Amino acid sequence: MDISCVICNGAGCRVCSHTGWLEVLGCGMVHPNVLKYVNIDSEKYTAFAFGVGVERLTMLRYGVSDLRLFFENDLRFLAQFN
Amino acid sequence: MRFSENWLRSLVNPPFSRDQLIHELTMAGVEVECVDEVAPAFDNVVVAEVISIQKHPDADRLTICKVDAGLADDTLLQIVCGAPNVSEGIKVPCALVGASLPSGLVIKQSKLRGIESFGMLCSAQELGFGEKKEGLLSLPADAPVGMNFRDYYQLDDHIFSLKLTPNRADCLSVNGIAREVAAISDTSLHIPEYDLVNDYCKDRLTVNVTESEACPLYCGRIIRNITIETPTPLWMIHRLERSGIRTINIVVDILNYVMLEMGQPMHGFDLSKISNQLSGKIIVRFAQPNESLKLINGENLELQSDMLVIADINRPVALAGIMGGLETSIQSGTMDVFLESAYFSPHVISGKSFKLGFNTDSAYRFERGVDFASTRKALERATQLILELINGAAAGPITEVEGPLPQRNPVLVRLSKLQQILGIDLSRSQVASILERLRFNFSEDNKGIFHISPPSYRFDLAIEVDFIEEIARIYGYDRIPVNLPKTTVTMLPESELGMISPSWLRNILALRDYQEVINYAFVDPQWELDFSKSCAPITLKNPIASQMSVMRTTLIGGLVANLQFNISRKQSRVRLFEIGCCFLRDIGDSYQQIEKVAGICYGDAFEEQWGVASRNIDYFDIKMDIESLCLPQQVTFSECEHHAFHSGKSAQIIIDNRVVGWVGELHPRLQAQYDIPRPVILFELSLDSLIRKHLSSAKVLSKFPPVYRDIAIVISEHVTNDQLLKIMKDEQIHIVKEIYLFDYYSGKSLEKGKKSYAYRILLQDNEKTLTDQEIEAAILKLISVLQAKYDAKLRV
Repeated sequence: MDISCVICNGAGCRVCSHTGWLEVLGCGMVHPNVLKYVNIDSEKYTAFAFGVGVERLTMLRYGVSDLRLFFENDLRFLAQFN
Repeated sequence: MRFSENWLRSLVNPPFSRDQLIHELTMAGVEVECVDEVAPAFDNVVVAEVISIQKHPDADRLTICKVDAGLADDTLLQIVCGAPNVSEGIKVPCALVGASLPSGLVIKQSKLRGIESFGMLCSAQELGFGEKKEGLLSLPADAPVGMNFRDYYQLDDHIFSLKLTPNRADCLSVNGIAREVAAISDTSLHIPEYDLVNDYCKDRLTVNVTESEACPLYCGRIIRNITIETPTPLWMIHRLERSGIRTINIVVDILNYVMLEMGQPMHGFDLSKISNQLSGKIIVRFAQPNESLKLINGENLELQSDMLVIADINRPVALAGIMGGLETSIQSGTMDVFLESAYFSPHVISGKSFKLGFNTDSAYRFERGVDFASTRKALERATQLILELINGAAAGPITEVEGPLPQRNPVLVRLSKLQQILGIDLSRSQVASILERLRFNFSEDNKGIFHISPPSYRFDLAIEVDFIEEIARIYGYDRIPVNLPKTTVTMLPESELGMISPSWLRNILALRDYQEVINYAFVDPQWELDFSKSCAPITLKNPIASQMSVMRTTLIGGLVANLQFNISRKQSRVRLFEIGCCFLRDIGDSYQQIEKVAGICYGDAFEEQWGVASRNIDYFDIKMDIESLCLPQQVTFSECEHHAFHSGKSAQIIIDNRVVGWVGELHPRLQAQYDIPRPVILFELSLDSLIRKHLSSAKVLSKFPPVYRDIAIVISEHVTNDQLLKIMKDEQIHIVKEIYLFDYYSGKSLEKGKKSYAYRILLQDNEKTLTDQEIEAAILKLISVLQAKYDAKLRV
């Protein structure tokens, strides 16, 4: 699933490779085999799954430029989010 | 997959602009990653022939050329040129006066060292395409002089790059993409059919497939009288280059071209290098022990027994479906070739390129699945091109060996199920029309069930939902309306004795001046050796790095690394905590995942200020943090040994008689090992001990006056406050309401090995005012139990 680019508002910029869109999560209908493994009858139920990359959304929301900052745990970075 | 837009549009030309085409492909699941123009804008560049050349009188490197640029009345242009490869008769692109080039250069009539020049002969780089090469772009001898160079070189074209998911191997060819575009846009598809070639020579090579499951289909034929020097036609070079494939020689180019066109990787052998030639054999088998093969890329490969090879009677000559051998490859001097077009099962090829450390266009396709219905057709197509482009070439008959090909059984797709899954009411005719657009063979019964046969080129369609997905894709995901699901919602009661949320604990620690960190659960095995009490971490089978090869059993390693990171960035005071999972090995094969909370403190107890003298953080500061973290549960601490902690400055943390964690100063040995200048205090607790809620119950408040008594005792320095408090409380004297330690002394006035504690005791009764006798009796009882258990003496 894409959201419209938060940097250029959909106009096209370097961050979104000039598409106007940013991919933020994968989603879709769950495969019947997956349901079978957890004993759910895929004839009766359908399932929809989605997973958000929390780092990616956080980067976009707070203007963090580099994913690695989240795992370096630099105090100067951490102290910005109180 | 990269390809030329013009090539695609020659097969299917929907009424879409380029941007629309990109959008439609992407929305249908065939993501267009980027589109690049073949050459940037320039104009007034024509094909020209250099008629004569003459050295510049005043410059060694310059040449004065007379150039035929196809001008009216055969006027020749005088152009001064600095390229080393200029020669008489060469055909090159020529920028006329007035031309503007991609670099911004505008060509004017000018003088170079005194000689007039009326234009510029160009290199590919000057025209904004092609690689950096010295000299002019030399054009074929048949290039028409005077023709607009952009048209001649078909530069008004764009290169599409697709980011294909592994299931869409059917789109790894231009024909396949055209088929997809035709389905998406509902336009007609024009894939040219070619006449089959007659056999001009009778020669054939015996093919022996011993592994028919790994190679269910093998087609081959001999083609004789190849003139390998035949130039590859420009249109083919352009299409190859725009797909990122370099031109090598006419035969290899044709084979690569057919691969791009039809998706079928092919290979050509130099017939003269096959042992015993016509009386020899082509054998498809797995590699035998101690066999090796020198590949086209020059690598000498020791073959493994799971590698499928093409062999002659003596030795392997190609790594099947991946890369050919160097010795038998088609190169200058090759006269006769044996062409191979085969279907190799994906499971035989997959994973091999990862193991070998290189990927090829062939392996990339075979491991995803190649259309076995096109295997023979591709051989026919390649033959037809060879015979058309190489004068005198003569093809032999096709040898075909067929084994058990993949089955494509019809799949039942219920309209009702489709509607249930997609949530939209597609009609039978809509579904049938989409299936027709997709060119699937299907029939429909009167119960609303479609019987659909997956095409041979689709390896990803096996069950009902696969087809439902196809139909949704072509119908358009963006045409499925957004509806909120309708559902009934019930409020569930929250138990008063439920769980405290970890966020609550985060807030407590954040308010106590800690910063939260997140570390990877994959850690350095050394950290586990250094910091873990259990130290039997779960090792990963395929770690991303050797320093991340085990699962953590403790959070401490990560925190120490964070501390080091911050110290090296000149931080002098660091307080960090982490809440995260640790992974333990149970007995046998089972694993446990437990959540822990851990913290690290370093540097001054407080930020530097005038009101408090600066001092190192100590064990007692952190003990207080832990007590607040555990509230309202009561925590006790007891001494114990942990190899990561300073003995005597560490304790285990106990709640309800259960050890729930550790606190202490990092062992000086580890402090030195990790290069940390000042002492470090660490703690770690299991999270589940902290998140149990506690329901308070009110006690009666006494209306009678409280009485305080202080007692000071002398005990051995090894006895702890917790131990003393416990035995006093265990006496359960009902008028003793509270006991707390308010003073501590050790020093010269006491015997060696002794210390003194002073306790304040609050006594009160709910029913009456206490008498002196009752108070004295209670205090005496406490003193006597202290004496009996810990040899305590009253301090006087």
